[in-house]
Amino acid sequence: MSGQLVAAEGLPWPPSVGDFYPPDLAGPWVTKFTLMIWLAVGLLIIFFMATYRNPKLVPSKGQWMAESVYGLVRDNIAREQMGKDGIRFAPYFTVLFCFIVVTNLFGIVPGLQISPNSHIAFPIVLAVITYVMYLYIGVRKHGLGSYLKQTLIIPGVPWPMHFLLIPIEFLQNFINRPVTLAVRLFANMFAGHLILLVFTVGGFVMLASDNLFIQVSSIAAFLMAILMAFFEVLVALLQAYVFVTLTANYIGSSLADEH
Amino acid sequence: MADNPHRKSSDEHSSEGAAGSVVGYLLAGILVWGFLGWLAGEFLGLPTGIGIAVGMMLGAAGAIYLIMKRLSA
Repeated sequence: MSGQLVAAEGLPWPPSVGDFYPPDLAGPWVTKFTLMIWLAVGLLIIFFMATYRNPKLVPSKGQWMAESVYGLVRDNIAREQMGKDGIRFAPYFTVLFCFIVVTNLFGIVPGLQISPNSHIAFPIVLAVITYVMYLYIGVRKHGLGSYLKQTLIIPGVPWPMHFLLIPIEFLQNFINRPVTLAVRLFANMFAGHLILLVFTVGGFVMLASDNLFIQVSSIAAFLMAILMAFFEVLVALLQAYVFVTLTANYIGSSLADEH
Repeated sequence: MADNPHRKSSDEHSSEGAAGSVVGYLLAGILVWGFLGWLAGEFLGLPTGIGIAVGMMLGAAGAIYLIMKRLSA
């Protein structure tokens, strides 16, 4: 019963990690991902420049959109996580949020169809920025010694407990935080791309089978691919929100006063 | 999402942040003390598994204690 996969020849089946490496465009330094990052940065610069160049009291449609995004991030992320200290970080959070949303959505834009964030290098860079930022802000506000003391040592604990607790706090605050931040975004985007590959390419492979029942069943695979594409929109927005929320939370805990 | 009048004092730990850090602390506790227990077991020549088991339990207990101290009140 081996279906002859003539029409499906050349399709990447089964999907593998190799499918996450599109061919280089011009030498090893200019890849599809390089172009997508440039595109995302360019789009964001153009969008915010165009919408804020000539702000009016009664906003135009573009200005209203930009202000809505900024307002969402400022009120629901920065102020929610950090109190009024968060307002001055809101511009960075807004750009970070928009950048992650745009690059995530590239995963389902026809022609681009893969998110740069499905390569761990890109989430690592974003997480390193957050990491350096909250360490620097914490050290600048409290000084190195008291920042470490505040982060690692819990007041009101009998002293022998510190032997037990300090290693846990250290792993949590200085290692787990950046690692989970990067891996969470990467894994969601990687899995999303793989799911879309499985259902789309799998649908074509089933269609190319010589068994009528399997050919008809491919409809289910294509329907599932469409459904998962919409699901990916949700994941793209949600992961950007989570990333920025946690960034704000970490910076907020660096800024917090002694307990 | 009810408005908390004592927001100022506890804005360090909003609901999402707290939920994430509970899991994180538990994992961190079990990981770091499991590893230290394993190291201790290797050096002291204890029977295989004793060190790591004791370490993980110690780590879990420490993490729960830490969560109670950090996130309550």
